[in-house]
Parts: sequence; structure tokens; C-alpha cells
Amino acid sequence: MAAKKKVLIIDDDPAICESVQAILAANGYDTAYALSGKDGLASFRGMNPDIVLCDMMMEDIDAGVKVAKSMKEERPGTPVFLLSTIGDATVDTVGIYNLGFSGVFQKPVDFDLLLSVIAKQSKTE
Amino acid sequence: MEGPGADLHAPLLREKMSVSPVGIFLSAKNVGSFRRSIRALDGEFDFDSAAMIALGAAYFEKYPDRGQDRNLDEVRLGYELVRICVIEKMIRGLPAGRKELYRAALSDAAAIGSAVDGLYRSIGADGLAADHPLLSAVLENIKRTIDEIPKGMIKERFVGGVTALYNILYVFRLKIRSPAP
Repeated sequence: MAAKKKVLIIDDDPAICESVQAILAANGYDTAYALSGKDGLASFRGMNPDIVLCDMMMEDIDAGVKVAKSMKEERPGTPVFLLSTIGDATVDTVGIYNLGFSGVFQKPVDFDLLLSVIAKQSKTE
Repeated sequence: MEGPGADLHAPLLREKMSVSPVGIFLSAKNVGSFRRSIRALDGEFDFDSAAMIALGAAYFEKYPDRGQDRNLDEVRLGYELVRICVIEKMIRGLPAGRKELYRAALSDAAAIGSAVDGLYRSIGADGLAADHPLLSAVLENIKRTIDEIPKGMIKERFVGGVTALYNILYVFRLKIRSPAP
């Protein structure tokens, strides 16, 4: 039996972390969450996740960028997806690849899409 | 066609709907008293984009945001204020007996598993399935109103606030689809 994929959720809102965790767990993922960029980076180093979902604005307005860049330097193969409240944040407008992210999901998140993307991502590893 | 009763009640409804969350926020001692006052209105308060912006402006006046080293407790308070208001609008059209169940399920994402199980035991999959479209429709309407708010930090708090509610409704959907225990 294949090991469950591990997803790390990083967001400053516990309600978002808990609810995303519930959805991912119901879909067969192992999950952990952190409530700040700093704690997220520590969790990343400790749990070695397969996928990271990361908010942009946390303790700093650009905390997500700092986190994603550090993660990409340490483990370039781990996909890090941005969870964005910026309505028109897209690959083109925000330049997320240059910021270290692998893709972007707008809040409120379309979970049918997110689950499909991370399932594909898991298969390509 | 509206009967004479509608005219009779219209002034009362207008008066009730002139209550705005910002006034309650400004007089509330803490988030608990804000929640109690909003809940006491049973969904009868203004919540158009002007009311949202007024609430957001008063919140940022009291808790100014900054780019670096932000106070995350104050940020979370912003999300919480939004959710308190939105939940009351979402459950406004539900039977009184179900409102408390949904308040519990929508208010505490940390207990979402047990809260949804409790809802499931109380109203069953059919009850959840019947209520879900109403809850979703109200939330979508509120999101459209949030979309009218100009881009900025007030909008960020509102989008962030409703995001967890969308997630919880998705958990409801999973429960509705799951086989009966």
C-alpha cells in the first residue's frame, strides 16, 4: 500500500488551516499546518512534505514569498502553491514562478480543482 | 402581489435592517459581546458593501495594519468579525431549531469533524442536503457583495473571513456524499 502523501498548509487563520486539513484528510492525505511563515518553514524542515499550500500575507505582508523562496532553495523539487486573496493574482500578473511558487489558488479555494492539481502533482513525483 | 400586511410590516423591517455591524463593533467591549449582539439580531442587519466597508474601516482604525511584523491576533480578529456576521446571514432562512446547530458547525473549524457529525445525527443526510443549497446561495451572494469592495486590506479580511466558511460547506458536501454510517 502506497504511503499517504504529506501536505503542509501554512496560513495565519486557524479556521482555514483546520478546514483545509479536514478536506485533505478526507481525501487521503496526511496533513500538518502552521500559523505563520516562520513556523511553516520549521514544519517544512521537520516533516519533509510532498506538497506545500502557503498563504501570502501572514506575519509580514510578503511572508509567503520569503517562505517559498527558502523552501525552493532547500528542496527545489517540492511544489509550493500560493493561496491568494488577491482577486486577480495569476501566474502572469504576479509572476509566481519567479517568486518561488508552483501555482496559485484563489481564495475561496475551488477544492475540486485543488484536489485534482495536487493529485496530478503527486503522480508526477 | 403583496397584501396589506406587507405594508404594515415594512417600516419595522426597514428599521431593523438599519442596524449596522459597525455600530455594534464600536460599542462592543470584545469579540464575545460583538458576537452576542450580532446573534441577537437574527440576521436582521445591514450587510451591503457600504456596511462591510464601514465595519472594515472601524476595525482598521482600532487595529491598524502594517506591512511587517503584523499582529496576527488582530488579523485573526478581523476574519472572526467577518465570519460572525456572515454566519448570521447564512442561517437567517433556516428553521429556528437548526440555527444553533449550524452556528456551532460554522463557527469552530477546529471542531468541524464532531460538529458535522452532530449535525448529521440531528438532521440526517437529507437535512444537510436540503440546507446546503440555501447556505451556499447566501454565501455566494455575500461573496458577490465582497467583490464590490475596492481592492485593499478591508477586502482581504472579508475574503479571508469567508474562505473558511466555503471550506466548511465543502466538508458538508463530503458528508452528504459519504455513505450512511
